[in-house]
Amino acid sequence: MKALRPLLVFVVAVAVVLGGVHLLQEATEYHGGVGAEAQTTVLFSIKDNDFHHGDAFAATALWQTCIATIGWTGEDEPAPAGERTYRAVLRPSLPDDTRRRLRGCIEDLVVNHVKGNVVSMYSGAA
Amino acid sequence: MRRFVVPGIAAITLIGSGAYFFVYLYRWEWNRALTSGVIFIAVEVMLVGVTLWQRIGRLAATAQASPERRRRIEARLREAPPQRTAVFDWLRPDGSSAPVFIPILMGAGLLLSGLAWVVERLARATAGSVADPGVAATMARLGPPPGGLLDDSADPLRLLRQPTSPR
Repeated sequence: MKALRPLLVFVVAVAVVLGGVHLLQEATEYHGGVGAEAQTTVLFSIKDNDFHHGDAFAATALWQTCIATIGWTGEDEPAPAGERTYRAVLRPSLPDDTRRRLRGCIEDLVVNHVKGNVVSMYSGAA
Repeated sequence: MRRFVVPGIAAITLIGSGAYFFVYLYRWEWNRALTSGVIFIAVEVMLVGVTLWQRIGRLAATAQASPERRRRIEARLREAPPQRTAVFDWLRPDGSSAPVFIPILMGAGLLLSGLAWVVERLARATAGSVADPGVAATMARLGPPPGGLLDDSADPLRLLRQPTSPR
């Protein structure tokens, strides 16, 4: 039994590594496709650092860039929905991994000193 | 307690940045993931450097000779002095007067070498104009005869070789 211990440790280590790599692959892989609902509504706010071209232009620039990264086409221009907050609609709705991808883009990307924060994102009927 | 502060902070930073690296990857926040990865690598390199520095310090402390050992080696060296070199033994007085001529011979050799150098330079400066006519005379005798080597007009045997069509 004592002689089998290194082998057991090796097998467990290989299983953990392979499982971790698989989990990471599943978590970061883009599966594509569309969601089951009719549309996804995104409410996001913007912040900027000396961007002198207006909030609407800043929101549109950030929104269009992130829409391009997920390869979505059926979208509306972001419409004002509060203090530096904008609402945009995507048709059809986004699947889970694409929603996560869009949220990551809006909150992580900085375009011309403009960055955003997703207030809410939900899918539903039109 | 103090020696655990830096490794502790580094370990916390390492774990946090490593965990957030995967969290940001999961959230598709690539810029933040890259930043976390850079912090992770920087702290990792710092930890490796600190570890190596501490180990080298311990090795250096181990390699330091103790004063007692140093004194013992010095005493041993005093007891066994190095052997005397024999390179300049000819300078030592040994009852003979022969070594006194060695510097004289060396000086004479030096003077003769200098004199030979002066003679050689003088000969080189003055023998050029005298040697050139002699060399020219010697070279002139080595040239071909007038008319070239194929001209046999002065050869008395020419008619015997070509009786009917002299050139």
